[in-house]
Amino acid sequence: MKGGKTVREFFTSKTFSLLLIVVVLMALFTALTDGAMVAPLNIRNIFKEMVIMSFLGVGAAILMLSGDIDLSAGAIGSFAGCILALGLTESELPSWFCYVLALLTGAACGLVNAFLVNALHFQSFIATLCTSSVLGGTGFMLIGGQGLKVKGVALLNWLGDTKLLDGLLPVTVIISLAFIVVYGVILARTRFGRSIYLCGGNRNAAYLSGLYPTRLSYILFMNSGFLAAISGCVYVSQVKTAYANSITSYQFTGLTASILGGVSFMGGAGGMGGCFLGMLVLSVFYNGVTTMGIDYNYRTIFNGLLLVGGLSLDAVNARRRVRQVLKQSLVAASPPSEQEG
Amino acid sequence: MNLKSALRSAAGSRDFWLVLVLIAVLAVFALVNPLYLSFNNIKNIMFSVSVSGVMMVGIAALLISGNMDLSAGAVGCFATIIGARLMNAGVPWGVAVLATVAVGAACGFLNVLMAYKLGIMPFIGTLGISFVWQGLANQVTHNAAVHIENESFWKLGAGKIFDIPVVFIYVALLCALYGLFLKYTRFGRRVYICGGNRFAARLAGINHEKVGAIMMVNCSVLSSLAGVILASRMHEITPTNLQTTSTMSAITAALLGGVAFMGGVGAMKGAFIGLLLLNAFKNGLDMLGMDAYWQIIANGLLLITAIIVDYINQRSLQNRLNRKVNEVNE
Repeated sequence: MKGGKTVREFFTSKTFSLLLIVVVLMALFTALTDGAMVAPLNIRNIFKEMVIMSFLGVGAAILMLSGDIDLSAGAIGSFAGCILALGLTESELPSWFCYVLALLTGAACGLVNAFLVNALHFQSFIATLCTSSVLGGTGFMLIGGQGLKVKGVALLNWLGDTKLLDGLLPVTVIISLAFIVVYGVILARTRFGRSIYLCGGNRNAAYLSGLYPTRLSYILFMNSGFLAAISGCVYVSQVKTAYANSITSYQFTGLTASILGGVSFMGGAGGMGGCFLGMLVLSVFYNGVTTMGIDYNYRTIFNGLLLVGGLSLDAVNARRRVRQVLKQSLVAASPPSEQEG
Repeated sequence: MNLKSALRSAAGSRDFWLVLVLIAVLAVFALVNPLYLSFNNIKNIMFSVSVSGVMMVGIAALLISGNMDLSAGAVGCFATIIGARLMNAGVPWGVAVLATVAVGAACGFLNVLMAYKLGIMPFIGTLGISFVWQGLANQVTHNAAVHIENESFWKLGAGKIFDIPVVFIYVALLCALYGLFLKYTRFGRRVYICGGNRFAARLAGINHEKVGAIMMVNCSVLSSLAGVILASRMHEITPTNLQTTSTMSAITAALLGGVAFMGGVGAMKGAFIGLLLLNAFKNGLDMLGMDAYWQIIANGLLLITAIIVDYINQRSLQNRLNRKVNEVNE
């Protein structure tokens, strides 16, 4: 009985439907591209496509679990990339220090967001929209519209170009998968991770049960900024050029991936596994579209449609959850004779 | 006594301070660059006011009703591109403008469906759908500007009355019209109560979903009209026109003018002054030879400032209310 139930649960779960989408998309594109889709090199590209969106997606997912949103992640990441490129080209600082500086910049931008949201009571999305326009403008001011090329830096080349296993396993892919696993474990297995869910689900209840939602919010905003900065640095390492808007568009893919993967927009539900599968769906689709040579604009359109689709699923699920809770509480409140059956 | 109380109430009103700030901004930029107050430049400011202003009227009314639309710019651009294509295919400009408005209304209706039938929070739903419109606009035009060959359409935005661009007059009239509508009609007051307190609105027998839906469609229609004005003035429409930056500056103008972000508070009068202030400020930066990114930064900083002022106002209002309640209780 119990085994049957878990099997059925699996087949009706979001994980299963996402896996199904991945498989169907893979099959479809394989057929359409005469097998070019499943060539080992292309599989590598699919994962490589995921790298930049993965850091942004993880940051966005965790922040959304706690009930907030960061629309400045793309701008923070691009800005951190600009800082990195400036440090590497204009200053005599050691290259590892430039990386540290860029990551700290990201965390500091997150701190500003957290301050606006917690101390000045901005709505998180409008606060982060503001900081994103300030940071985007500042990035343009620092490096101009053409972008800043970075050449001949050993650490940068190592991070961006090293590939293990005959070129099939880039270092950046290992780092991004490691981050997903580490954050997944933190979320699912630690006390800190569970406290995020509680704060997202019910802030007052979290406060009353001895947590500090405000402190948590500061940590998560800084974490989001930090992860965004990592993706900005990875972008600069891969492309060897920093732009003021280099990863702005990835921010929404990250957001879409985590909403698709079942992270609730209202906070309090979802996990890293779903988020990872959401990213996989997106990168398989993007890669297939690129392999077939379809125009880039369809990517934007598809991204928007998926975001709306994921959101409507999220809204429907939230309503169903509320109904379930209501039904359970009704059952609990009714006399015991009616509870059986 | 009368003069004193009048002065006091003026000093307490937000519009008064906004006008002062506007005068200060004009004075400072004029001191730095005397050409700033030349008639040609004032006409420039008036033109930029007119495009973002039409959009701002829709967004301000929507914000007052407690909703949000981040797709306004993308909708305006997409709808106008369709209109421009129709005109180039030989359709008379009147029909093409009607078609543009119809496309805008349809996009707005989609936002309504998302917000009320699917239950998606408006700001993220409209953000998602804005990618669709943006991508479609790029795809339809192949990322290039659509030039409009229709001289009678060009005249729509080129006219002048006493040397004042007629588009500016359109916007001033539109603001006045919406201001009167919101203040003096029954429906207008419903917009306020829906934004201020949904629950109370419901208890008063008002269908807040209907009010929100009308304001959403209205906002999309006005953004497509903003696109029409832009296109008739520039003789072309580009898929990068009127995207998120214009939506953002329309929101900034409304918030600067005292429209509360959470709805229920604000008036068109203040929003119009906010619009003038924002555009005067941006144009001034332009005149000083500051690059475009300064405008983006300034927009963000102004928006933050506006919200902080809003927050402080709300808190002092709350404090005053509390004090009154205490007095009554004693």
